[in-house]
Amino acid sequence: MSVCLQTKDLVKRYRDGELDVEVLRGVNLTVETGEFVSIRGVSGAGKSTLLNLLGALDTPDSGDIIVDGMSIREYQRRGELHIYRNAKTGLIFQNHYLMPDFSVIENVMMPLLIRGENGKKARIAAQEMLERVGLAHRTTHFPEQISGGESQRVAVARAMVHKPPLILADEPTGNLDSKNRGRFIDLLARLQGDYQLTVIVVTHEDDLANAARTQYLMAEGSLVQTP
Amino acid sequence: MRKIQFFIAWRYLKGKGSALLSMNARLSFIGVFTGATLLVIVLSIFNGFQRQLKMSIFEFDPHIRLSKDSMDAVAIKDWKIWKKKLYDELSSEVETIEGIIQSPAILRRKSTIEHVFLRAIELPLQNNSYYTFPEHFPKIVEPQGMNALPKGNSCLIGAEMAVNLGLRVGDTIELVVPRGQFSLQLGVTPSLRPFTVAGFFKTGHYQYDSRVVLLALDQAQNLFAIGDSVQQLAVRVKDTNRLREVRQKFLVHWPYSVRTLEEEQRNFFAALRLEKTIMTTIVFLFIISAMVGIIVATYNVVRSHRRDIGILKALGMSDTGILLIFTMTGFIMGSLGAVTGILTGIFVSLKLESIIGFLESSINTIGAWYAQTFQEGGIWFKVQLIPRDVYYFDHLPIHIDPAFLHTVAAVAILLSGMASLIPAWKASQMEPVKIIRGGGD
Ligand SMILES: Nc1ncnc2c1ncn2[C@@H]1O[C@H](COP(=O)(O)OP(=O)(O)O)[C@@H](O)[C@H]1O
Ligand SMILES: [Mg+2]
Repeated sequence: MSVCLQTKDLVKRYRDGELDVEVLRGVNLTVETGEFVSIRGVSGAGKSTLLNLLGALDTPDSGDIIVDGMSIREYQRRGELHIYRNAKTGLIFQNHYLMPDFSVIENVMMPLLIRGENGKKARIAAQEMLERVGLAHRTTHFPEQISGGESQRVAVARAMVHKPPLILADEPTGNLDSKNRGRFIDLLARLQGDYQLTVIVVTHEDDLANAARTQYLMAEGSLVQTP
Repeated sequence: MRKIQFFIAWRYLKGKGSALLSMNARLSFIGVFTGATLLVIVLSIFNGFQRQLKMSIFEFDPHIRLSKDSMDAVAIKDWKIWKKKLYDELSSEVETIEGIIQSPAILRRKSTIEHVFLRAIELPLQNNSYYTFPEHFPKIVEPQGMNALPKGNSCLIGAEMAVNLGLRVGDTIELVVPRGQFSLQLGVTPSLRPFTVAGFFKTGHYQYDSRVVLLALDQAQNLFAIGDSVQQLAVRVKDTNRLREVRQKFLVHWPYSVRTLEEEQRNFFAALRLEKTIMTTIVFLFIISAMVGIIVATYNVVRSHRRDIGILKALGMSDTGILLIFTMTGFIMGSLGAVTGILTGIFVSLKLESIIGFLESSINTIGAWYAQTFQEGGIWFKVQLIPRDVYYFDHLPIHIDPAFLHTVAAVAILLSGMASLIPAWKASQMEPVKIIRGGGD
């Protein structure tokens, strides 16, 4: 098994008025390819902060992130953080964050189009992915025309359509009712297994956290593995 | 990389519904569209007026006058020799050289006297029993045809003078000038002769049409009793933009007084230049307002798609990509607005006369109805949107300059792209983490 992701002493501080709040106090995490990892923690523990750093939406104050053998600082130095985001990560948020002016299939095609893939190929891949999440009949609908549970499944399709090595999910079930939450967890676990995806999911919900093989608890700005 | 940005920009403008354009797009489109339309109309009229004025003066007046002294008092006796010599020397620049007499005179008609300007030209040339007029001879408005002029003592008068003095074709007037000279030196005796009004002409210049009496040169020479001499040699050049250069050449060959039309009509040309400056300012203001419109509209598009910007960045679109999307929205709007606006402007310009006529008649119809209905014994005085007698045009002069329109289109499109750069750049610098944490807008 090869290492997909490694973080080294990640530190992130926020300035809150006069006060410096150290949210991440040296996070060390190693995730192997094909591993399904969950990170649990109370609200405000710093879970989103960590995930945003892994997704290169934000930069750490110190420490390093290495994905597939390349440091995120190297991407940054070359001005290629956007390439890291597109090529290495697939993001799922609590809020589905679909683009309202685009149809379901267009939303799913987006990561491929951004990469420069041609429209036809992107459409075929998106169609296939939508079939996998059970939404083949919703492709031409717009986000406002589908339910919350369906939206979150579209977001999953979008995060996986370009086959990134790392799937990052931030409270993906936070806005779902219990029935949809169950379906979502099943779907995520099934796709993870089928594609041998590396998934990191952060949540404060036990059922989602327990679906992962490796589980961590975030407290006091660092991670502790829980059995 | 480009295709996706265009796809997104177009979707933002079009909106996802069946409407032709989204609200924002419609607003900025309308801004540029109206700007371009108005610009074309205003400039077509402006250009038309300018050309008409310039043409009326360049058509009727000699472009360069040669005389023996700057007061035009000395007669040129050997003018035919000079004429041939100068023409041979400068035929590349010169269209025609003619001997003319131009002098103030007194016009008497029964008990009325009026001061007028005589212009006597070599006219017309008899050719197979038809009289052919020089190319730039002013339009004869009455009688129809051109067979009136040189039977005996006859003259042409300006159409406005005919109206002012109540003269008709066939009437007799008397012209009084100094005898034997072109000036009023001491001991001058007057020379008086009757002339028949053979017709009315129109130059389009009120001053000329109300003051000038046209004579054939030989008639004028008889009137002045001056033999076969002229007062000036009148030159028409091939290219009126080269007046100054041609003047230099004449100075070499004609050792006396050389005056160009621009020197003589200094005020007129200064006025034309001032109008050009005003016109340029108007164009500039139009472009500024269109740019402001594009900036505001693009800013709105950016603001209403703040969340999309965060998402696109999280999915891996570069800052340049975001910049491109929102520059393109401005660019597309600018191009669409400019092109359709210019086309509409051309259409309206061409139809302007009928549009104004329609407006006039609508206003007058409504006005007359209003006056009759609501005012006791009300009388409606007809409105003329463009009073013909004030502006002195028999039709609205419209001139559409294709080269200029190309420039307007190119500049509008370029500037709309540039204008949207500012908000687009702001969009490209937004931090995705803030947008995503903020939960969107
Ligand atoms: N931009 C910011 N400025 C200041 N404080 C912040 C900022 N972002 C997050 N925080 C703080 O960092 C802490 C961790 O936040 P977050 O990572 O969102 O926690 P979680 O996702 O575990 O609920 C919180 O106390 C939050 O208030
Ligand atoms: Mg959070």
